[in-house]
Amino acid sequence: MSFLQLDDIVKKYPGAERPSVADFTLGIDQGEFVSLLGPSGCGKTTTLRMIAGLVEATSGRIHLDGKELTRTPVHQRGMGLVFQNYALFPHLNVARNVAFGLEMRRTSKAEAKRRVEEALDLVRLGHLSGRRIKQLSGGQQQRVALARALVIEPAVLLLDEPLSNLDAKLRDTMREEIRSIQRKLGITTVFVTHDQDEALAVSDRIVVMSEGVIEQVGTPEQIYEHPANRFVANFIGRANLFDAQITHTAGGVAELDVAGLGQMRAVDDQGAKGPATVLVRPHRMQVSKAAADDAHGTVETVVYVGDSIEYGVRVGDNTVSVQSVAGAAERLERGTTVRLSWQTEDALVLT
Amino acid sequence: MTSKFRGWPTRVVVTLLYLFLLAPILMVLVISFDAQSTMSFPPRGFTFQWYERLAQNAEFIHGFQVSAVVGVGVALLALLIGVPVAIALTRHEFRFREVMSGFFLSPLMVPAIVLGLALLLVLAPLKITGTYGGLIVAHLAITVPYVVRTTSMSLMTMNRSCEEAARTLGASPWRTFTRVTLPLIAPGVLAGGVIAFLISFDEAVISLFVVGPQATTLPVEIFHYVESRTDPQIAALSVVLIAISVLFMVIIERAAGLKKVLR
Repeated sequence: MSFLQLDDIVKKYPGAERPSVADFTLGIDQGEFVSLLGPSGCGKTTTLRMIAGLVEATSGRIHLDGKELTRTPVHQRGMGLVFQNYALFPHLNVARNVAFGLEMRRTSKAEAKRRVEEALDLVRLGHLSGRRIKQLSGGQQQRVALARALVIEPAVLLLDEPLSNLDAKLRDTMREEIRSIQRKLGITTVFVTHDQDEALAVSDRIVVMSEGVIEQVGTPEQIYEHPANRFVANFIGRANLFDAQITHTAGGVAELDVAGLGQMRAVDDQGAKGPATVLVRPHRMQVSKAAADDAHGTVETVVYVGDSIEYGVRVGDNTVSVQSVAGAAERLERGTTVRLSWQTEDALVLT
Repeated sequence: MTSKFRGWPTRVVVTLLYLFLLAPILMVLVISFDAQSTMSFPPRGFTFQWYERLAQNAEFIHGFQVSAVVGVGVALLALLIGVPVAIALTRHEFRFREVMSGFFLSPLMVPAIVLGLALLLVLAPLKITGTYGGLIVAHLAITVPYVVRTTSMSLMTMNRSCEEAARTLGASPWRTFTRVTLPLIAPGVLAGGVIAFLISFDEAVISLFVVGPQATTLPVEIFHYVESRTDPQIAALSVVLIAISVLFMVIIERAAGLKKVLR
């Protein structure tokens, strides 16, 4: 059993057609940073709130360090939760906000003072301890919320889209900071986000969710390079998905008949013949000029984005995205007839 | 207000409207200093004698004391009942919630005279008419709805995740209420209490049914006084009451902002 173990967790609200979270099973190791990633409404926040105890699971079990806490009330769970809107107490100043959890634990005044100072120093806000919450910027409020959650030395740190209310630049800095604090303290962390870049950048493991169920669990590399299905492939990074027919498969490589492209090859760890979907990332596709009678399609859009050029190539009814390194090859004009290709190891057969 | 309302014709109209609305009050103020012994206009002479007599009028002083005690009692009890009711109505899902909500606001929809008669019919057999207790019970019927409303408003507009944050930080439900919820809804609660006091202090119609010789409120004393006497003492008393009301309104304004409370 893992440090934080969730088994067959189900949350179904009365009157709802389908459960918000269904059969959620996941083990999280001590010190691990795990992201729950998915579009809004996929059940990631509900799962987080069930771990915190703010939402009661309809069925299933939650264990922390071997002890069951499925029915433990929120205030006895000892989880540190950082809310999307920070949820700081507006009637208390920065230091009193951070001290709140220690007061509830009846920590001695002297020790509380020391720990509050430590926590505020950790988030680099030591100089603002006397400020009122209203006087703080969004980024500073975020840090106070983090300090308030960390000061109680929680068993697990839960982060509910903590970066979504910050502007883009601050978001990247805070992301790095949260990760470095997490590493420093070695605290087990569950991070909820809808932003795939965020999840890829900070996580030890990512749990991709959709409509209440887990689509895939894996390291950022596994999720990106070997998505388990169409949903994950589409949700993480940009993807070209081709309908294909597997004509022969052996030794991990499949021969395919791809609609509009003809005979191609792709990595295949399933080993079954028949209809399939093939994933090729845009930057792994090659495009080259071809005579009209030999071409797969026509260049429809050309977007120059500095270090690369993005082509939209019309193949039958579909548009295929191709990303080429600028300057590496001849630049193609709109209307050019082209052939598309890829290296076998850059294409993956999905279920 | 946008600039198109700033023109002088609007100002004139608004000023006249306010003068029209405030004229009776100004009249009372002027008459309270009038040297004539019957209330009339225009005034002749200037005197403080009505204020002096007021300070010696045993009935008015007793009535004032009764009203103040009843008002404070009503305000405290209305909070004690109204705040939990507001929490139940805004925070908990239960059967008949809409019915309960309607029930707690319904006294405001019944004419006061009907309510007064009804309360007399209920309180008389309990033998508490003419007592402080009877007056307080009667006034609670019309003041609890205001407390429920102002408190509900605060509860609905406060950030609920503050309560959840307190819970995750180790606060029991009760401590979450006292340490987080109550401070955050304090403006609404305070406003409700002040409004309850003012309504109780001002209430005449219902009180008329349930007062007795031992416990007669100030509005009822005033009522009896003007039935037989017409000297400007009553105007002087009115000025004092207006001053008290204004004082309380200033307190609400400072605590919560009138607009927020009366919305």
